[in-house]
Amino acid sequence: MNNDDHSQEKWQTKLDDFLAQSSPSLDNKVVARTYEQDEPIGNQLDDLQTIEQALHIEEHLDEIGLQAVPEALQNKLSQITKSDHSSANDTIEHKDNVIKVNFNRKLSIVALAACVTMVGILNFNWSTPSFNNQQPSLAEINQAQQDLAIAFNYLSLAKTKSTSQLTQTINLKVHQPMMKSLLKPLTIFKES
Amino acid sequence: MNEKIFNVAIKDHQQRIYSLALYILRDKTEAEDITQDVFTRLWKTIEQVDMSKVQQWLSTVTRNACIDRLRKRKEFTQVEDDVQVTIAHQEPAGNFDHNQLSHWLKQAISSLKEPYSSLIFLCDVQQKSQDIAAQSLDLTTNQVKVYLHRARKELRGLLEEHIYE
Amino acid sequence: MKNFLLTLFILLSLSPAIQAKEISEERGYVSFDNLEADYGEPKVMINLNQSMLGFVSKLSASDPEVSELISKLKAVRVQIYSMNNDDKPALDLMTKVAKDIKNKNWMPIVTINEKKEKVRIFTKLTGEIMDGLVVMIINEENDKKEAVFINIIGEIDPEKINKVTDALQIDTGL
Repeated sequence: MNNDDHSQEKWQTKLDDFLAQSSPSLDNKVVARTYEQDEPIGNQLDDLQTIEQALHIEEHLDEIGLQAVPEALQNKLSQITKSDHSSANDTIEHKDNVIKVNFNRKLSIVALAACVTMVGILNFNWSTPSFNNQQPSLAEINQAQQDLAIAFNYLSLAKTKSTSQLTQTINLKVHQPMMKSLLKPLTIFKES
Repeated sequence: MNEKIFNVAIKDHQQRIYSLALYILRDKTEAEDITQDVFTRLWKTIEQVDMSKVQQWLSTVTRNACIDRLRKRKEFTQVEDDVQVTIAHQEPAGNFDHNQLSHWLKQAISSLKEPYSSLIFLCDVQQKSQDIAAQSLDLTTNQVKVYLHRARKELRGLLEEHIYE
Repeated sequence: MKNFLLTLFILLSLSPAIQAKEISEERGYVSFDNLEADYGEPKVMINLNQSMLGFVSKLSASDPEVSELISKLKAVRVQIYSMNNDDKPALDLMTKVAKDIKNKNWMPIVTINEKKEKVRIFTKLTGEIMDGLVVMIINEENDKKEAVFINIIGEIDPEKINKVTDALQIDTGL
């Protein structure tokens, strides 16, 4: 824990030192302004400075130095292609319980594969609703369908409520002020 | 084949992308999340990405995702008691090589019609206030605000076109 | 041989835990505390796993689009409680979940805070794909006072929610 805190402070100190000694280039400042949002959120200046700093850090990343990637993240990244493959499979199958172990000997890998397969088969029997059959009964599936209908009913309800609130909010906070502001230039034009 | 290319991209760039996210967000959990998101996005669109420029692609997507995340942090902490509906955000785009930026920017700014070009030059390049820009260009401050907003949007459009051509 | 048997034994004993842990490791998974102590048994409790959803999607084969949508879901979890006159436990849970998932980078989509209705909707995005959805509703309109907690895990297309609802309602006669 202490080492973690210490190393965390180290990279932050390094970053802060770098940012204190240099500021975003003019080019980055100009580009940052093109990211201005259509609907300003909070402090616009804060937003601009954030973007400028992000561009600046990106440009000088090598100078600041790179941090080691945590092992957990490395594992997750290596799983990206694998999770894509398994989601394409038939939904009746369960995903293999993936257990990461580094083995050097082929025989150990074969033994592990045999274990995982056996575990997968045994799990399949435990997890299906009917222990005796491979598939759930029609009644069970119908019940599941009704359950899903209930769930989606509430989702639709929530969606309808938000749409109605969105319309009201747009009216109140966007449409009406916009109508007011549109009248202003006409007034100025008239005066000049 | 795609999988091999993708795995090489992870090996070559994960440290850089994670570091970039970490420095912008200053939060390890969020940085890990963004890194995973970015590489997942790369995997899903790998056929459309020019792998010779993948470092640039990854950096830009990461930077934009982090900026979005920072904005979301601020939006969420500003929730008030009355009704608030968050409209789905627009992804900022833009992918450029910092080395060529200066040259390209000058050209792009010059290509904007007036008064957009002058406004970008006065307010963003020369960092003059909007009042001074208004006086220089014989506009009202309101007009400067509106035109400047449009000018920046147009410049950003040019930036996107330039990157994806 | 001894090592093989030992490994097998360990894996078998761990397997239910591994299986149980699986859905909770999904990016779109969110845990809801049990409110039975405050409200009694939930009036609706739904836990559909990917296997069952697969079967349901086959029942909707007459509409391929709906069938495909359902087949992309990994889990559907719903808890609905009748609140009686005390909305505090439900409100506390809503606040707690909102705070927890905000820290895990879920994106807030909708926040409604009206006197008789509170709604929170969050999504988890991977790139441009929504692979997690949380909907929390506290409704005190009319005589119906209920707290609804929904977690959908898997690829969700919010544009098509109404279409799926309509199709399911026709199929089930609800």
